[in-house]
Amino acid sequence: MAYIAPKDYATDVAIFEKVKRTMEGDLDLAWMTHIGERASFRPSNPTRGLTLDDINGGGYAPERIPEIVRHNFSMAPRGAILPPGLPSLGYQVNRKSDVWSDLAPSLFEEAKSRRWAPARDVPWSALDGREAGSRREIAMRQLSTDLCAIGLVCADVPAYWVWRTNQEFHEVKYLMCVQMFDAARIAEAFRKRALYGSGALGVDCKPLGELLKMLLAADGYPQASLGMNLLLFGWVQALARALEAAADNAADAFLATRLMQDASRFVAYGTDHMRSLIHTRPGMADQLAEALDLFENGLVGALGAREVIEPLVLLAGGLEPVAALYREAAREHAGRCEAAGLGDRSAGPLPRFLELISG
Amino acid sequence: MGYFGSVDDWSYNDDFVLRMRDLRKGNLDLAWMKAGTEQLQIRASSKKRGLTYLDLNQGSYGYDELPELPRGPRGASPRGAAYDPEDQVDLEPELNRKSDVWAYKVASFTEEAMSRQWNATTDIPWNDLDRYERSEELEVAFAQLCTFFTEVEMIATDLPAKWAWRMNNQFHEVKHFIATQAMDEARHAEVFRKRALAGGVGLMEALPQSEHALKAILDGDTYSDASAFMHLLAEGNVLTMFRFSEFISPTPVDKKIFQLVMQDEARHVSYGMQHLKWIMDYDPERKDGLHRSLDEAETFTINQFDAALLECMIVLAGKGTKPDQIATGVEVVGHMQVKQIEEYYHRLRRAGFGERIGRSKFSAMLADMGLPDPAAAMSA
Repeated sequence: MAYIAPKDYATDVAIFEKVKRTMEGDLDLAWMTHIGERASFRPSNPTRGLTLDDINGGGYAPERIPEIVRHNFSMAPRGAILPPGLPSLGYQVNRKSDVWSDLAPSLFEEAKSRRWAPARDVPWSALDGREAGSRREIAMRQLSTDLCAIGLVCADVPAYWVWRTNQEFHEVKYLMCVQMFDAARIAEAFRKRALYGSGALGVDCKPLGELLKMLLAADGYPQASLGMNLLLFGWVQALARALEAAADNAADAFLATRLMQDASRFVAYGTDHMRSLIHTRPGMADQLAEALDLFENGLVGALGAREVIEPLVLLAGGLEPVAALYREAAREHAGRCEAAGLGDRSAGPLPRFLELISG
Repeated sequence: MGYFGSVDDWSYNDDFVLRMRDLRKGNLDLAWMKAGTEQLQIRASSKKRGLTYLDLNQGSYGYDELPELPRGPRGASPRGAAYDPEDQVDLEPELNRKSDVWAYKVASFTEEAMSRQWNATTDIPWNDLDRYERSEELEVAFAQLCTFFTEVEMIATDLPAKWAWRMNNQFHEVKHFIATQAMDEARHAEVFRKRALAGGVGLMEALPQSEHALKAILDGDTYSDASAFMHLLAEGNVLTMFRFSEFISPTPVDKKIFQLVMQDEARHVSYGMQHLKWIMDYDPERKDGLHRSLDEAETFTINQFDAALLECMIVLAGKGTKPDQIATGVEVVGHMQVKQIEEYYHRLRRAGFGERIGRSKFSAMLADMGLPDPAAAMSA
């Protein structure tokens, strides 16, 4: 390992002497006086339980985190007493506005309370008896393959950033863990959907892969969050709505509603994160808008890819309903960008694409 | 951004524009419908368990047939989907050998994790804390223990996350397991923080020695080195501490916490053991590297015997700080320390890495402290 102990503690007599003294009953107990801010938080609403917002009071509250963290690069929890000698764990995300959203604690709580497991909760047998070779079924399996790819890489994006993020922002780190979990579940659920019965996976969609690689290669966490949470999951949410409307069985309806529910959390965090970041550092708006141009171009490639748009056309019964879905999703996306302070998106890549498919 | 995709502006790309025009005319390409991927009969083998990864373990979709060097996709394409090896988006994964990440039973661990999620907010009867009287010194000791657990648990999200995005997506069962572990450990950090902040004392002092061990875990040279340190040794030690902490918990509310975290932790430790076993079976030449890594891991672990950590457990086990209570506490904690090492040795042996036991630094340490050496008992 790269980090080597300054000495071989296994031969350090002082340590053994210290432990021996303790184990002979000679306790120091000085630590018992090292008490920080006392706290006895209780649930504000007993039916909801003890939430993160309930314990975020006094010196433990996120409001006490400075915009730039200079005091703690260890894993010591926020609000603990920091003795000398704590090492740096090399965090690269040390600026509050780079990750923070006031919604993070409640979104983490929501994710836990809305847990579901694809193995048991999806009524898989509702898919029995479907004609495996039907156009509709093949289209559904191709979309499931696309969603599986999205789930796989969108679990990687928070994984890429969470270990680089300072522990002072633990609520956001918890939420990143939820995102890894939720995205991996999307991959699982839609892999199972594609394969159930006489199923099969479809084909790899290269333009979608390019968009996903762009998310993973984002320059910083704000850009990654913008591309994945605000942009991509906004469209996943819209797609889920369309899948629910098109579902002709209980399994697909269930999967679509859960996809929608999970995607909404990504979108809510991403939108509020951007809003909060631009509010704190207005100068970031231009940089982010530039990154968004690139991501939106990647998204256009994916939305127009044969492996994405054609199965949607087959499921919807024509291009016009798909164009309407895309227009509505673009309108919602523009509204979120406006609300976040990213400005008018009418000159971005999406409007021109909508013209192309709408004629 | 270091990657921009292959097309400068899709909406002005001639091929793309023509294709959109064709689409408007109702001309679909539909080449994707002839994926040529394997079509299998997949159903839930047990209605009670539902449709699991084990049910999907068939043919080109399965993991049993996945070789040590799966020369498949390197991008987002799910295992078993059709893809063009000459024209795929390469996510440039760094862990591409099965033995880099794989563990026996990993699909089962993942399914178990999915079905055993719990909620620290609602599954712990927080309001019941008021029903149980606790002395100030016991609550202070418990707050110190909770501070320690809050501090160390997030390493088990950060370390696997550091490696997960570098893993080839063909190992999605492992990556999914890691995602469940990240979630589990975030919940553990959450529950101990909540307990410390609900008990009347609050968070206490962080422990520098433990932090140095956490840094060493995060800095592992390979995923397997880091996994051996974290899953097998560190989480193994924490699992023993959880079991012990349930026994010495000041209230039934605290016992409930430890019962819930224990089941998650046991799964993580099992994954680490099964990953090591997989390496021993399929890539045994890595033994030397693992030895060197565990040599250093054990060194850091020995340095973790911090006064605050050891003493808070003694106070909790003896239920106070009077001499007779401390004597009781010392006896119980001494048993726990021996148990930690005994269980570590058992895991090494079960993983097929029993030769490590003779080289371990822990046996000499126990002898120095006048405690029994489990290695001797095991060989007897």
